[in-house]
Amino acid sequence: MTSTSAEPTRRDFLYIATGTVAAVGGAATLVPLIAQMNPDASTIAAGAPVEVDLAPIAEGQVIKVFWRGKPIFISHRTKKEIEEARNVQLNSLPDPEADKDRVKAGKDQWLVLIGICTHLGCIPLAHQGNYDGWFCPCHGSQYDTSGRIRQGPAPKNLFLPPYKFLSDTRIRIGEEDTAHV
Amino acid sequence: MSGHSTYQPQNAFMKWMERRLPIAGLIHSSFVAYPTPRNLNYWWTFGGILSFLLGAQIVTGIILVMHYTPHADMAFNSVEHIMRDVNYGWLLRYLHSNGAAMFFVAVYVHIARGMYYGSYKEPREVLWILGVILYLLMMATGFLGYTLPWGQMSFWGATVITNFFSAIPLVGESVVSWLWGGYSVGNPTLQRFFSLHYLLPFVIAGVVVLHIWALHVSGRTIRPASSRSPTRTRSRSRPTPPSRTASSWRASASCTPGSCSTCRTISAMPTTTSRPIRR
Repeated sequence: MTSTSAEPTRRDFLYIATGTVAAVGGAATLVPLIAQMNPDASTIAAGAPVEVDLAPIAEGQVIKVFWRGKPIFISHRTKKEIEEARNVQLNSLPDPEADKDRVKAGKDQWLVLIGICTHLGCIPLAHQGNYDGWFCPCHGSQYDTSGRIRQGPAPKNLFLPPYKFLSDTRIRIGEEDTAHV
Repeated sequence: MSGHSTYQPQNAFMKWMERRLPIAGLIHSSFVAYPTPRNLNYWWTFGGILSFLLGAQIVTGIILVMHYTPHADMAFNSVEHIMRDVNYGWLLRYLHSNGAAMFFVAVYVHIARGMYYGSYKEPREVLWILGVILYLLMMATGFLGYTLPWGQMSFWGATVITNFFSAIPLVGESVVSWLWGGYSVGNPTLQRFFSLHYLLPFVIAGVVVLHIWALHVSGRTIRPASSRSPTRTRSRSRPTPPSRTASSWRASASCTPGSCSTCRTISAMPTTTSRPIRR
């Protein structure tokens, strides 16, 4: 590229053409180098939905199951716990959400949550704290009987996993019921 | 890498940087403004090709390590996992294993070019010796990498090659046992081979820096300027007298140009110089 020539030269064209091919080739090369770090086929297969039998879970009991490496809380709520969850002023909540939107219709006693504190990822402890729900030991976030944040640094309610009821006592976690919600 | 850089930083930051860490000037004077004979031919591209291949091997190798397990019970399955499950794992592994083979193809061309043009002669002895060291390191690295999938070929390859050392009188058995870390090729062997296979490419990269440094001290070999314009731009080199030209080859072979493939090949190649650049 000579500075004396105002007109584009053949060499300019060659530079641009070569550079373009190199840029496209470089970008194409980056695809596999980056994509290899995404979850591989075996990890994806291991993340398939899991089924849980609810029959052995006593009223008032909370169990933990694992799905995709995450703890899933399944709470068989008592009448009192459901009551507590329903009788809250929504506008008093940090992350307002009605309890009925956090359970499947007609299955009020079953609360299914992703058991990861929305603050920084610790696992909250069940039946602890001021709201009869969950208490996170890391930074003191407190969740109520609907898994909603009530106090502490966590910004959001405990998230709900996709799941659906196969029967009254059996759920499949990892698959959303398209009929509901 | 020798002499003062002619690099002129354009913007303020690069000027600031150049006074403190003149790395841009080093790159500029070594790879941009570095003078080369105008009649270098394509056989001189193999040094650059080898540098690229070393970089590609290191990149793909580091990625493969993300998915590989260096254990006798799990290594083979982890390689199968790379081939079947990991996204583009098959591509990355084939790039690495076939890249190693291409690496040797390229290095043989590079060595053959050096021998044909006398690149090993004074004052380039150290440059050549560094190249031989690089070749030995490459063979060691290639062998170690070959054992890592821990299949039958890997296992028996490791067994046979390490048994070479049993030929050493008196201490041979002890040396082999030391290499294995046991009484036969086993998990300790695999784990140390993996460690060294990861280490050696970086040793190679370091020796490559010395190799290029030595090259840039002596300059590249050139062919004679029998029918060409002056071949070197560096003042410290002096023109070499012409040696055999293609036409003199043909004259001595008493045949017509292009009448046979041998002659065409020779005609297509530049003539030997064999003459070092004296400082």
